[in-house]
Amino acid sequence: MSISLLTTLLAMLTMTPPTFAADPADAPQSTLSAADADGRWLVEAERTFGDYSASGAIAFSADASNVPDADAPPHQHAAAAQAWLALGRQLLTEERAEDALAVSRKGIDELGDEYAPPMTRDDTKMKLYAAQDLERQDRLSDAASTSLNMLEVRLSLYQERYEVSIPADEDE
Amino acid sequence: MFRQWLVLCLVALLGIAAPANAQDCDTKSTITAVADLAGILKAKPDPLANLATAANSPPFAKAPKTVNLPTAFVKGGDASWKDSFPGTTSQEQGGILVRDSKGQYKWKRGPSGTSGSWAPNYGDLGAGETMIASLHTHPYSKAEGGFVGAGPSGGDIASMVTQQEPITIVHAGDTVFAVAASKEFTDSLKGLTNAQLSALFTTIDATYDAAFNKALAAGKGFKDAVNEAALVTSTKHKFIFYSGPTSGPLIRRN
Repeated sequence: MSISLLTTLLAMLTMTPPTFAADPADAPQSTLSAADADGRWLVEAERTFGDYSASGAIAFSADASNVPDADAPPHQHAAAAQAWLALGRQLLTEERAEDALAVSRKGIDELGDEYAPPMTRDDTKMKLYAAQDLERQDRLSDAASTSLNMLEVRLSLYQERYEVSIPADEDE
Repeated sequence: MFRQWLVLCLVALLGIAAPANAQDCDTKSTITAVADLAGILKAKPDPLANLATAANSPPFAKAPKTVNLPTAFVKGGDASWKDSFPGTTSQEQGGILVRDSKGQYKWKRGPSGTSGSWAPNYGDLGAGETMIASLHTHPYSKAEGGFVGAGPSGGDIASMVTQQEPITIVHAGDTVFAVAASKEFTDSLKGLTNAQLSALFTTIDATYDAAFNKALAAGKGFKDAVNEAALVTSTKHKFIFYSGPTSGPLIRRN
């Protein structure tokens, strides 16, 4: 092996990995509204992607003896996932499928894995794998819609598991 | 049902006893005929015996090689699949297979699921009935790739850790897949805490993901990678894995 090759390899090994500035839009920001007359609290979150932004909200009940922490309210990640879902739908409508797909994945990541009720047969991951397959086929619009639909399914399962609700759904 | 059975017995009796004349039709010949009939009925194998065995957590090495499916279950599964494509979307459907105290199998359709989930209708299990299997569909709309024949998901197999039924069945359009608990798997659950059960669920799901991604890396398409992952995961965690046409019989694959 030549010295120049060794030098190059050494340089590669000692290089500092590239760092990316944290996207402020990804920072956990949420607001907690005081309980209404029925004892239901509302946590809201806003997420932005480029020039686009959307908000999501989750309504939940809490005992008077168990006042939620305003600095880290429960279900804020679900409210954020709801915001990503709204944002993704908006982007898909405007035929920005690649961005909509990216946004759907942000929502899925932020919601996390603890969303399904215990006895549910959760096949959403398979559909997300199918979305990856569609993406590989360059069917970006189908990939984005499938991924967004799975985020929506996970949010519906989340509501069932934690007995919370999405206020927009209640208005429908 | 009883009337049909009675008629069948009488026809069989006539066929066996068939007296040459009325004088031969005595008590002795009737008793002989009944004994012959009992022998014939006893010798006839129960086509669903293997299903009962598979549902009873058999040792992995001794599980049946083939399993037949009750007619009502086949019809229920096919109807579920037919209802899995409302409009241009997909929606999982399914139900449970139970056995009553008389040994009769019954299909009980459950509520609709979503495009990516389904919940078993355990509440429909009646008094004196035994849970045998659940079935749910795996539909993919055209926009989702239109896949047909994609078997159990990692979540489906991992759910064996906590579910009530010993067999999970997936109807994938042209193929039915079954995952049955073996004695080894059932024994491994004994004494586990909820945290340990949850960890086992995660481990099984991770096995599936790794197998799926390995199959994809090896050049397999989505559907084949799904089915490969289901087979690998079942074998590793001692589940008995079957597949076959929607009307059966199901053939053991591991």
